Amino acid sequence: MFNVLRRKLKQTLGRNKDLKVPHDKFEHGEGNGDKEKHPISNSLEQNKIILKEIFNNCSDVKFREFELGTAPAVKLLLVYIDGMVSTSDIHESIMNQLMLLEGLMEEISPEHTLELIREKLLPIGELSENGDFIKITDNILMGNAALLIDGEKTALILGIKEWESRGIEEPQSEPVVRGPREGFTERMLTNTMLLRRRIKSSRLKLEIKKVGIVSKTDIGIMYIDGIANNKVVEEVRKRIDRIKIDGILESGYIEEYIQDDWKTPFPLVLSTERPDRAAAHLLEGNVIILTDTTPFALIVPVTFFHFLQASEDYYTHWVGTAMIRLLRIIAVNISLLLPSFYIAIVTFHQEMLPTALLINIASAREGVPFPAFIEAFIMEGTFELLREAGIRLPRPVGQAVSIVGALVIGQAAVTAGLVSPAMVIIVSLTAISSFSIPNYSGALSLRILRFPLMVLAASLGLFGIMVGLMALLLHLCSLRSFGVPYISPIAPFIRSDMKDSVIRFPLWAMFTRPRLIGYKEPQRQEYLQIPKPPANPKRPSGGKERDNK
Amino acid sequence: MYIIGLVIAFCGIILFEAPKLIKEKMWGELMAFSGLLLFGMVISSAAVLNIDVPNPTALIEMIFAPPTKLLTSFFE
Amino acid sequence: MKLIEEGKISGSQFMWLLVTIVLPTAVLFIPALTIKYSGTSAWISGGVFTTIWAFIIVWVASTLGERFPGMTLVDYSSLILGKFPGKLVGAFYIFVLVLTVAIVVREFGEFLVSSFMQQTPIFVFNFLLIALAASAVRNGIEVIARMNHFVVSLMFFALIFIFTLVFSEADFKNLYPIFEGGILPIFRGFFTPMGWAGELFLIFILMPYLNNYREAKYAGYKAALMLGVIMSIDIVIALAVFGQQAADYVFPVHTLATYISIAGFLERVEAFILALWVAGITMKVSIWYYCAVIVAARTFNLQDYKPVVLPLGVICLTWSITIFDNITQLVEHFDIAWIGFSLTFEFIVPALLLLIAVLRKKRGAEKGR
Repeated sequence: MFNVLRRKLKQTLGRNKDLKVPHDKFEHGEGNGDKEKHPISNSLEQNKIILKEIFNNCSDVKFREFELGTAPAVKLLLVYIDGMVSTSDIHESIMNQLMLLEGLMEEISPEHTLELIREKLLPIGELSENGDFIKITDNILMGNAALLIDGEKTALILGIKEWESRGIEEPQSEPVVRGPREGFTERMLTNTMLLRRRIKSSRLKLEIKKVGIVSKTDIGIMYIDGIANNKVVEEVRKRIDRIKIDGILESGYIEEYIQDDWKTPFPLVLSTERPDRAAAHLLEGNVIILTDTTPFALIVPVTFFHFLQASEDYYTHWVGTAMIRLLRIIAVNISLLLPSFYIAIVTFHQEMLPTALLINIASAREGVPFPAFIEAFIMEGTFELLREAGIRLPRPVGQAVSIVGALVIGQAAVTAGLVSPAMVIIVSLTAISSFSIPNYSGALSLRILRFPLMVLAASLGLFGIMVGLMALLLHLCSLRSFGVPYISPIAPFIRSDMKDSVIRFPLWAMFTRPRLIGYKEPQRQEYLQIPKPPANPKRPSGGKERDNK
Repeated sequence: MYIIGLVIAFCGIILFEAPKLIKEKMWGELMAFSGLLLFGMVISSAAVLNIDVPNPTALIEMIFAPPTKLLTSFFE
Repeated sequence: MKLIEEGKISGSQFMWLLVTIVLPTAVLFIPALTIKYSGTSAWISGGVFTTIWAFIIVWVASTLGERFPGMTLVDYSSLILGKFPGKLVGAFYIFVLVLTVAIVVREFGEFLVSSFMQQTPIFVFNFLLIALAASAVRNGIEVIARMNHFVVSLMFFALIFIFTLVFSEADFKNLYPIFEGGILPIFRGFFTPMGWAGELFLIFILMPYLNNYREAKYAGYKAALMLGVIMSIDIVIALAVFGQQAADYVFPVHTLATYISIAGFLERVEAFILALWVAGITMKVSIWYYCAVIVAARTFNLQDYKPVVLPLGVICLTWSITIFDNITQLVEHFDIAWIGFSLTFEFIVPALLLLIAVLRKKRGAEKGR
């Protein structure tokens, strides 16, 4: 499998001058490392030549030759990538220690240089040995430094990774009123730290895989052992191992490769920027997939209702949250159906409207030259355009676009008699509703589906909408995300999971984990911890009142 | 006019199902598929071309109308 | 003895499937047809008698199924009657099921054309419905059962919506006198809904797909009871609002919906109700269609049921358009021949199968399925 891919890669990319044949050997990382061995020799000079050949024209790779400060000086070569290692570590923990030896002169013997350096001289936490060019190259590319010693057949790998990265900031895509302000960052170890800080348990497992033949991106699979379904974890591993691609640049790449159905417009993997949300899902038994170089973590398996939930839902009062969740469901319906309903009613079912409203709409539509469908299509299309422009443009210009859009949609089009005012209301309501869906990819799928429904409504009225909705329901029912039915608490109906889908019950009532996801350890809290006033009817301060008598 | 639509529809159905069946050598399935489809083709083209073919409900009425009448007549 | 499909459904899903098998068309057609013969006591024939009949059907079908756990209809009829007669039973049921699908689709199309969109040709409705059902069938019983769960709640919502909102129009004096013409008209009026109640016989085709086949009987009884209650309410409300005239409407429930008026704002919501009804009929057709496909696949000894879905769909679609000339003929057909026909395939054949199985002491292997 891998060789075929390699041959293909060679065929397509091999013509590229950057990928000369000797390089190619070092481009496949661990995949082939077990079979092909490229041991280093004990001549430092020769190793240096080969490494220089590997890192030919890579000016950011530094080769620093120096000598161990012993009496028969031993030659050393330090190879690292500038900008990916900690310079202070290079200076203080490595060079300073090795070059300026004091009081060790008499202990040195040429046979045990490596042991000496490893055991006594280098004050570095992460340290390993390796004697293979491929592994050494990989390590250097990962941001470690390699220390080659003259006369030794193994090199020391020094874990001194350090690079500039964005600090922990508030997530832009999922703002909350109440809740932690920390968001994931592009650095995976920061993200795992954020999750470990929330779940201090040795049962929280992290498995790191490298995906991407050229990019060698770190992918972390996190789950809580004993809560997460082993089959799901195994399936995640399998699907990630199946990815053979040149590079992974964002978790979206992973998402597209691991989802169950590639044709669906619905997202089958939930992405989040919020560590608290990821931690909550870990506790429910989901598996988190972290990708280095992106702040978006993937959560599997998910159901449709996960896309209508925000992390804040669990931090604010449950009655309010229950209401807000109902509101979101209404928003989903409006965002999906309102334009098509308008078209259907105006075109086919005028009798459904009260007479006064019908007259109003009819008189407003009097001067409009288009049929309702074209009118709706133009307006929805314009809105989608404006929205896209608003996202892509530089922020100051974006403002201008929205002003122009407001004028075009709200004012000029109506005054010019191109669209009716009712249509403007419909479009803006749809827009507001689709903004109130917390997850971007969830809202996106509804935005896409709006248009086919509009076509159906224009051709067959309410019946057409219903046919479209039935087809949609059929599709939703046939979807699965890692084995979990997509609209699971509703169909198949699971009574115990209704507590956290359409509405949210108080936390003490959410006694079990979601049944299809966290069934391995269903109980998540003590039973019936209903908060109540103290059993003693007299209040603690009650005695005082009597005293006053 | 309708017959063209019908032909296109049947071609579509055949192209949708048959290649997979042939490739996986499911001959039994292919037989059942073609037999039923042939039947469907005959009755639908007959319907489109206004040819009279025996109507299943007429058959049922022929067989079951007398006993039904007998049954209901007791309660009139 | 291999199942064509691996899908499995739970007991409650099974029960709701049984409700959907009967309910969507029954609610529309039965009031008028029953009131026509039984007059004011229609609710006795349409509600009470049908429930008892449904219980009998459920008993026969599920006893037959329990005798041969995990086996499909064609398999055990071959076991009971011999190989060739068994296949013949299968072929008979393919015919029955395909024809019923065609009739249900036609009923639905007529309903939409006559009270909803007069200008649209019936072909459009029938085609879309069968296309939807075909794709549902191709997705398997699990998906159908899941969809059904959702749709049943929609249907109940629609029914409760109609029934509560027309309550102010109801005049319960219309229900008197009970037993107007003695017991005979009640029996006469019972014959038409009998065909609908008997549709629960599909239990013995669907039973192999149940997680635990012992739940089938209980689920069937529950479904029968639920249907009886709904049908009684349906007929009572239709009677109370229209009196004996209800027999003159083809779809009294739909006419009921036109009576709805809330605060002068929501008027004539019947289009909305009808749209919800589309969902119910789609499910009903899907389940019948699925049964037809499964029986066909088993009769022809297929490994995969999917190849026969579309050919059967073509037959259903053609028949749904050609079998009747107009809706009057459709309604008459229920009166003339359907009573005897439905009695045959819903009760007589399963009962005979059961009887012969008992006499010849055939039973399926008790497997821990």
